[in-house]
Amino acid sequence: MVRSTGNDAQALFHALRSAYAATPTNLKIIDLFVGFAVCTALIQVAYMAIVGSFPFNSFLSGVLSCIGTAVLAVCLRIQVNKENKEFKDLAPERAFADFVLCNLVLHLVIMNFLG
Amino acid sequence: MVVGNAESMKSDLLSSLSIRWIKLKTKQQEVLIRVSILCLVYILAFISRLFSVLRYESMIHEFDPYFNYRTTLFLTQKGFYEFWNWFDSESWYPLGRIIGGTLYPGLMVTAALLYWSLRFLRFAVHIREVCVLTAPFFASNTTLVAYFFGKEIWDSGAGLVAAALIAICPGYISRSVAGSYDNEGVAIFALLLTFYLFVRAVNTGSLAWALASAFGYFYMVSAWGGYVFIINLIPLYVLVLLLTGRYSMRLYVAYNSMYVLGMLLAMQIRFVGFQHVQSGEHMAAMGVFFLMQVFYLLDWVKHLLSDTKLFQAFLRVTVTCAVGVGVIALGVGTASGYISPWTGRFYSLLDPTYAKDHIPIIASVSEHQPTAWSSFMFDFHILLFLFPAGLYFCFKRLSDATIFIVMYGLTSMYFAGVMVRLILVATPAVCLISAIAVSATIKNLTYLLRTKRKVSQTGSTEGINGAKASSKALLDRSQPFQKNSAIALLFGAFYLLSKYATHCNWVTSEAYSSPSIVLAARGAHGDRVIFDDYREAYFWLRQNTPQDAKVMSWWDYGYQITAMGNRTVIVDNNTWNNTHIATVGRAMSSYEDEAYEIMRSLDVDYVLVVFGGVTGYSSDDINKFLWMVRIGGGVFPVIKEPHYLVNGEYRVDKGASPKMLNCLMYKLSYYRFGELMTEYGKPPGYDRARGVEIGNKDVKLEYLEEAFTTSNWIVRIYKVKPPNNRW
Amino acid sequence: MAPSSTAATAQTSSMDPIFHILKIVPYSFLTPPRLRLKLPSFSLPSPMTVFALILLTYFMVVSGIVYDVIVEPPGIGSTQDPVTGSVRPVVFLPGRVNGQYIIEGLSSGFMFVLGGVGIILMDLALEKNRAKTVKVFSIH
Repeated sequence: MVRSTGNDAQALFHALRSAYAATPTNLKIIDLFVGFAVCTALIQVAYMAIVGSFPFNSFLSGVLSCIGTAVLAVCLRIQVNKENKEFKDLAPERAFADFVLCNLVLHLVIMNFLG
Repeated sequence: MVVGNAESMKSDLLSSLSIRWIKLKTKQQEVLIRVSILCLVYILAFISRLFSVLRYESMIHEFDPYFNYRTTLFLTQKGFYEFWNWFDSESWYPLGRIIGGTLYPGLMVTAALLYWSLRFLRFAVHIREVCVLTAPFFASNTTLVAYFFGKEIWDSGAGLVAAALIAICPGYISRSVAGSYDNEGVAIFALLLTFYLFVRAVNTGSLAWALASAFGYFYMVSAWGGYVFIINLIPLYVLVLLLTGRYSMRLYVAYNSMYVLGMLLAMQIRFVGFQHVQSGEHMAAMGVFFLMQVFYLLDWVKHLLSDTKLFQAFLRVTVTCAVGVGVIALGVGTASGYISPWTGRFYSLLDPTYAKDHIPIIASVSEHQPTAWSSFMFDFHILLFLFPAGLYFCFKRLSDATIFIVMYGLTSMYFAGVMVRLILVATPAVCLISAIAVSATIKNLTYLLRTKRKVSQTGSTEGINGAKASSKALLDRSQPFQKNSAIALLFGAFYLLSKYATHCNWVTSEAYSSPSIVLAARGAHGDRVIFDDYREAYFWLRQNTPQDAKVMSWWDYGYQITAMGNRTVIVDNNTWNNTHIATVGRAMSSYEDEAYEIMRSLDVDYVLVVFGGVTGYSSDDINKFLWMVRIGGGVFPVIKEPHYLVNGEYRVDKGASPKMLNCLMYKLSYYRFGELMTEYGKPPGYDRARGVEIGNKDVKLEYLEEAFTTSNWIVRIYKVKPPNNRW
Repeated sequence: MAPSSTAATAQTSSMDPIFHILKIVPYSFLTPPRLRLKLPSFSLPSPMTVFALILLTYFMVVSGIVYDVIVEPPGIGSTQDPVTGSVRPVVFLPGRVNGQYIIEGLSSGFMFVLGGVGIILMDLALEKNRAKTVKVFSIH
C-alpha cells in the first residue's frame, strides 16, 4: 500500500513538474513571490506558536500583510496569464497598476495597524 | 408621482416621437432623458423626506439620534482626537462609558465632514441643521447607487425604475426622514454601495473594483453594526456559486482581495477590533476564504495535469486534508474559547424564538418584534407582488449578478420577517427586484405594441406569398386583441405605480414624519394640538437642578436626558450592562422603602417617569412596566412577574394586585392623579391611556417629593429626599 | 495498480488462522446479497424548481409565519355584537399596526403571491416563441 501511494505521489510530482516547466517566466517569478510570502506568513505563525501572540495587532498585521500580498499576487497572476480567456480585454499594464494600488492601500493600513 | 411613472414617461416619449427626429440622435436623447429622470429622482428623494421639518421644526427625532447629535457636537467642538479618547462620565453613573471605543463613528464623522466643508465654503450653518439633513442627503445618494446597481444586474431601464422606487419606498423613508439622525441613514447607502461594487468586481474581475468594494465595506463597518449581514451574505453567495459550478477566476479575484482588504480596514474601527478573526459570526467569511484557496489550487493542478486519474487521486487527498484541517481548527478554536460563540442578537435572528426565552432586553424593544403582514403591506405596498415576479425574471436570466440580488432579497426578506426594523435592510433588494419586474413587463408590452405596428404596415403594403403569408395572416388575426390588451395592461401598470406613489406620499406624511419627542394629536374641533412636554421637562432639569445631579429613569429616556437636560443618568439606550438596567427595573418595581435603599446606593437625586394617563399617550412607563419587571426579575429573582398580574392579566384599576398598586412606578405615575378630572363624564382619576379608573387614588410618598410635572403631565420628575436626621 | 494487488494477496496469506475460520464459516450458510452500491449522485435542480421553492418560502414569510410562531395569536378573532349580543367572527385584527390573526396573514400572503403569479403568467403569454395553445390558455 505504502509503496503504491509513494509511486502515485512520485508520478503526480513528475507530471506536475513537467507541466509546470512550460509556464512563462514572468508567471514563474510571480509564483516565486507568492511562495515567499506564504513562507513568511508560516514562519510568523510558527513564531507566534512558540513565543505567544501578545501584541495581537502586530502579529495580525504581520501575517495579514503576507497573506494579503500573496493573494493580491495570485490575482495579478490570474489577470496577466494569457491562458485565461476571461481577462482577455484587461491589459497587463492595467492589472499591474491595480496590483500596485491595492498593495499601497494594504500596506498603508498595515502601517497604521502595526503600532 | 412624476418619477413613479418615470419608465412610462420614457417609453411614451420614445414611441410618440417622430421617426425622423429619432434617426438624428437617438442615443443622445436617451442619455438626456435618463439623466433628467435621475436628477428628478434625486431631488424627489430629498424633498419627500422634509415633511417632518415642515410640520414641526428642524429638530432631532426619537431617542438614539440624540446621542448621535451629542457626540457630533462634541466632535465638531473638540476635534477628532478628543472624540476618539472621550470618556463620558454623564451616562451609566457610576460606571461611565468610553464613548470612542464603543460606538460606530461613521455617522458622526460624516456629519462633521459635511459641516466642516460647508463652513469652508462659507455657509454658516448650525451643526443641528447638518445633522437633520444628513439622512435625506444620503437617501438621495442611495437612489444613484440603486440606479447603477440596477444597470449592472439588468439594464438601465431597470436601474431607473429601481432609483424611482427606492426614492419613495416607505420602508426606507421610515428611517431616513429629516431629523432621524441615526446610523441606518448612512448605513443603507453604504450597504448598497458595497454590494454594488462587489457585484461590479465579480462581473469585471478587476482588483480596482474589489478595492473600492473593500472601502465601501469599511464605511459600512464604521457606520452600523449591520455590517455582519454583508460579511455573511457575501461568503454565502460565493459558496452558492461554487456549489452550482459557477466558480470563475473573476470571483476569486473579487472575493479574496475584497475580504483581505476589507477585513484589515474594518479592524481599524476600535469598536469592531479583532472580531473579524475572533468572533463566530465572522468565521464563515474566513472559512470561505480558505476554501477559495483550496479551490484555486485544485483548479490550477487540474489545468496542469492532463491525466484525469492522477488528478482524481490528488483531489481526494487534498479535499480530505483540507476538510480535516478546517474541522480541527474550528473545533480547537471553539473549545479553547479563542473563537467567541455567536452573540444573542445574531442567534435570535437565526432562531426567532431564542430572544423571547433568553434575552428580554432584546425582546422588549418594539422594533424587534416579528413582522405581521400589515407591516409588510405598509412598507412595501405593490412591491410585495412585484417581488416574486422580479424573482422569476431573475431566474429566467440567471447570471452571477442576478444570483446575488436573489440571495440578497431572500435572506433580507427572511430577516425582515423576524424583526420589524430589518425591513429597512430588505428594502433596497425588494426595490431592485421589483424594478426588474416592472421594467421587463413594460418593455415586453411596449415591444409588442411597436413591432405589431411595423408588421401590420409591411403586411398591408407588400404582397406576400406562400407559407409566410399564412403565418402572417395568423398573426394579423390575433393582432387587434393583443394590441388592445397590451394597452390595457400598460394602463394597469401605470395605475398601480401611481397608486404606489400616492401610498408612499401618504405614509410619509402621516406615519413616518413625527419626531416622537413632540407629540401631536387632533383636538376636539379637528385642529392640531402639540404636546411639547418632553422638552419642557428636559429644560426644567437643565435649569433647576444642580450640575452634578443624577437622574434615574427607564433606559429609553437616557440619551435625551443627557443630550437635552445635560444631566447624568444611571442607564441609557446603549444597554451594554444588563445588570445595571435590571437594578433600575428592580427599583421601579419595589415598594418605596426598598426602592429608596437602591436609589441611595446609586446616588440618585431625581427620578423621571413618563405618564400618559392625562393625554392618552400609550407608550408611557406604565405600559412598559412589565418589561421592567421582566428585566429586573431576570437578574434579581426577588422580583416575580406573577406578583404584578391578576390571573395573568395586567391591570391598574381596583382589581390590580396589591404589589402593583404600591410599587414605586405606580406611585410615581399616579401621585395626585386621583384628584384630577381627565375626561368629562368620568370619575376623577380616570386613566385615558388605558381607559380605566385607577385603583389607588390616595398615593402617599414618604421618601420622594414631587419636583416638577409638565403641563400635560407627560413627564413627571420627583426629588429623592435626603435621609432623615437621626434625632 | 498491479503492485497493490500483490500486496493484498501477501496480506491474506499472513493472516491469523482463526480469522480464516471466521471468514469462511458464516458464509457457508449466509450468501452475501448482490448489492449494487452507488454513491448518491448529486445533481442540481432546475432553476424553476428552485424558484417554486423560493415562492413558497416567500409566501410563508410575507404571511407572517414567524409572527404567528412567536406571538401565537388566535387563528381568528371574535367580537360580541353590541345590539344582539351574539358572537361574530372577526377576520382582521383592528387597532394595532403590527398585529394579525393567523388566517388573516395567510390569506393576504396568498393574495401577494397570486399577484406575482399573475405578472409571471403575463410574461409567459407575451413570450414570442411559445406555442399558440399556451398563449390562449394563459391569457384567459
